[in-house]
Amino acid sequence: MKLSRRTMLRGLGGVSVALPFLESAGTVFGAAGQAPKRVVFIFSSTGSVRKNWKPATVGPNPAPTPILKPLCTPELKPYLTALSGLNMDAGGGVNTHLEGMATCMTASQNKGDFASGISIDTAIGKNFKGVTPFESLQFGVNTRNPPNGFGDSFITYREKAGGGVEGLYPEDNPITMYGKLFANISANGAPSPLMVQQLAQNRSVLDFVIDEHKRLAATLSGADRSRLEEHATMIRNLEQRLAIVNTTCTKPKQALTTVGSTSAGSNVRPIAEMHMDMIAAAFACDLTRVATLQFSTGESALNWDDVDKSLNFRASGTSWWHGISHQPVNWDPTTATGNDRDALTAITGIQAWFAERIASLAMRMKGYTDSDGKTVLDNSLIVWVTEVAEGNHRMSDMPYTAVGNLGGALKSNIHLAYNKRQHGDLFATIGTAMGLPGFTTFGRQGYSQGPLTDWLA
Amino acid sequence: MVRFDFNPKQFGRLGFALAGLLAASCTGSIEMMGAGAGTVVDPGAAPANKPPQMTGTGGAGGTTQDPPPPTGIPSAVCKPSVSVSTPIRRLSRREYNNTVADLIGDKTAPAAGFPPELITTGFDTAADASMLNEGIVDNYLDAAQVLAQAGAANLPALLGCDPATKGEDVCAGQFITGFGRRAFRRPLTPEEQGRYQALYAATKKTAGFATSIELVLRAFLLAPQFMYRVETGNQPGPRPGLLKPTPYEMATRLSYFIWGSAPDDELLAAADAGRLATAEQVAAQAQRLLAHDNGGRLIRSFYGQLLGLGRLADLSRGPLFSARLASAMQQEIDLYFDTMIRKRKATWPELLTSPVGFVNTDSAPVYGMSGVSGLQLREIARPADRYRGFLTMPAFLTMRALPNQGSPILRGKFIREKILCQHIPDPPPNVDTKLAPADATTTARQILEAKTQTVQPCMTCHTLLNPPGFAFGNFDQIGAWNVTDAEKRNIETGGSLEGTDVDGTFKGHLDLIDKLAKSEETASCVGKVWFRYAMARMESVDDGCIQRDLLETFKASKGDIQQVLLKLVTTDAFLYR
Repeated sequence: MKLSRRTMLRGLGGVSVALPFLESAGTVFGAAGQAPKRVVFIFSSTGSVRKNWKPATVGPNPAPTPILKPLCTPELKPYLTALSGLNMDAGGGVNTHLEGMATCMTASQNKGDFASGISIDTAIGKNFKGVTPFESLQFGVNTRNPPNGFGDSFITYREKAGGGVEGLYPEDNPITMYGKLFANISANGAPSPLMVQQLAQNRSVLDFVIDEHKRLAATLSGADRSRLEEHATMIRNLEQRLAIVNTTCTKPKQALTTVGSTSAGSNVRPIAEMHMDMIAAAFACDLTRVATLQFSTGESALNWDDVDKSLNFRASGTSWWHGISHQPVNWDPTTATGNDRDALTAITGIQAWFAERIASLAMRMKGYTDSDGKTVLDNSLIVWVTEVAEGNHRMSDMPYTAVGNLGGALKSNIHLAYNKRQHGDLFATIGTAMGLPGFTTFGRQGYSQGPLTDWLA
Repeated sequence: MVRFDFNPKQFGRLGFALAGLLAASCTGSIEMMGAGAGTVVDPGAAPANKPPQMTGTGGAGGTTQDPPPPTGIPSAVCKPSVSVSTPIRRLSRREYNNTVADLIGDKTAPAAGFPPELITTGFDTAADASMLNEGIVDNYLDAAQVLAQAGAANLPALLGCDPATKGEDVCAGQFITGFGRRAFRRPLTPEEQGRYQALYAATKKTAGFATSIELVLRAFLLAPQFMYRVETGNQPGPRPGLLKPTPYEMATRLSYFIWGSAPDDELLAAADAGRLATAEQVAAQAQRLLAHDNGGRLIRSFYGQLLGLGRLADLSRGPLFSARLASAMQQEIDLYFDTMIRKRKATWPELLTSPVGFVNTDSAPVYGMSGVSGLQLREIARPADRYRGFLTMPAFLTMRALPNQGSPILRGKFIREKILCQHIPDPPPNVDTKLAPADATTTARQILEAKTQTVQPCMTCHTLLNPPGFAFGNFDQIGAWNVTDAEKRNIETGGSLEGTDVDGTFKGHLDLIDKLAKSEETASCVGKVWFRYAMARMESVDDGCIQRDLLETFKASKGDIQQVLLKLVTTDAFLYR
């Protein structure tokens, strides 16, 4: 059986033999007894219902709410943090779903529906260049669904060669992702002579192709020339992964071996489950320190009936996600009646569905023992973000939920309420709690004031 | 009851990308507001300049002076073409898939999951290489690896040469020469041949013959000469400033335009022999490619993109809509354009008005038909009192709809932008686009009219957009016919068309379609959209002669689409760089 290019990366996991072409990447795990800290961002679109999300009391041990209930189990409640009162003003200008997507992870000023700064996942990830095989991983569920170009926007942005930022699409296909991360990893990680040979071959082809790009570039001028040079650089960057020594890794079971349309509503849950298997395993294997799981897009055309019929979201007359989010006029579930009440019930049901998914991801992470003997969840943080607070495009008092405390660097089992603080501060706190440099503020200047010190333990 | 908000970005990145072309207000941005009324005569146009010499029908060739623009074609101020830079162009996902299918027989469409192209002209032919990022490069690396493995798994077929009798090195050499020629769309240079030979030899030593062929194949699939179309031809063209692409570059232009793929052996042989030097030779090859089985790719790709049908199967359109129904709809409209244009030499007015349809067991109920069994599509004559041409096909109507009802705005916008080539700007930001639901006292049309046709900044554009959209009011979100709305009221589909060369009142969609079929604006729009697809750019004022020639061909052939296409490949824009 042939080994893929990826196999070579991962297949050499845990090897300590010195191979002439392998540059040592140092210890992937931190100092003895210290496990790496990781973070995963969950994006779900079209906002929440404030009064069904926000815990009634501020401070430790908040009581469950209709939306947060799935995260209030005895196993997970100690990890739960609700952060209310943070505003998402940095985007500026037009505040709708697509603009919200652009700013929700970047805290940057929008240029149209495009961000002007990098997002928190790549900002964290770039610290691990050369340390983990992937600086960051972007998983998507139903992110290419929208018809007519609806919602065709990014939440992840990274620095672009030559300045500016570029948007990154998440990978919706879990099988592609599985191949990228785990294909053919041998359980014990010992490299056979064949694997070593194939790694060398992979490098020789890439070196050849890089030279061909440079050769052709030299015959061209201007933009054409730099385009090909850029292309060569990108191949070179990707080739670097071939040199990274990885840790021993137990690959997760491959839940799906075929997947139909990644845009079909009926595939949302199975794909999400498989993505979450992989996120937990990728952390346990130290393939990356940061992952993003994006559920659909701001103007999602997803029909919730197609996702899970038992949820009966059609009570409000439609199960069209973006459609439902715009129905309520009165957003107070205690006084809403008729159509408003039905729509709020439906949105609350969707949000609780996401809380359930996050709970199952957390439990997966809890199932892996980390290098320090604790669980992977203990050393991680799951952060749930959205692009509008509620379907009325409100961008204030965003509903941020976190699970985990980064190995005790953050407080948890608490509801923290803020006033006049910005969502960039949330991201500055995370970078700081991970011990990374450059997170004194995050995002647009003049908005983020710095870490939320009362969240830091 | 449902309330919808109509987002300013209905057309997403397309709208965003075109924003630069659109003036801020509707009045200022709709070109060709009426026959003649919008004519802009460029005083700088030099009438003494010769128009393009390469002409087929249309009669413009050989004249020493430009004829005046034909009446009623406001934009056709004839200026001879000028050189337009042709940047290197990365294969689009569609082109990549077709090319690997043709070169190594891999029909798995490996690029289907790559990030979509940034669309600037309405078509993927202008895939912008500047959108390159590491994620895409990573996709290419993965795809090439899988393709090469699969290709090398069937070595005899890949090589077409038996190493046991001819020797491994001979077969490898032939493979590099032969496959390289197809992949690079030209013979390899001796240096290229030498480099690939060296790669082969070095790998063979350590990994053996089969693996070395696999790695050579992978290197070809990742080579910039394969992934990018590069044009370097610099022989002088018929006028100063125009350059001739090399014969191989011309072969590549033709095959990527019509097949979305690399030239076949016959086309490369024509390039070898210098038989792509004249407009007639180019047209003859174009005719051959169009008649070939692969010619259907052009029709499917062009109309699929013009109508925006890419994501049909993924739409949410209520309980009656399914992936199988979507597939039947998609097949019908593909089959319609292909059959009509390539087999029946249909004219544009026929495409707009033909009763021809194709149904199977899944789609027959949408047309109100029963007793149709099987998945195989069969041709039908659709009832003439409801159906006329592709604008009444379920695929189109379903695409331009909301999850639970047809969308007059999306349908009207399509007619304005893709049939009439007018520009309708997006609503200004922050405009309230929420609509109240229809109820017992007010129809959906009345609500939309009150909201958008009585106040600014909405009414300037919506007065133009809504009426042609309302004309299709009987067709719901899957294109099924409804006589009345939910409150049992008749659906009002009459209206008045404004800002075109066929203005006036119409009784409903049939009447409107008949008007469009007679419109010269739509005729000139046919030339424009095909130009954008073929040249991978928007038309400019310097393409005036071409636009005029295309319209002349259109008129002379009564709108024969094949004739327009053959004319297109003999224009200066196609023949020169």
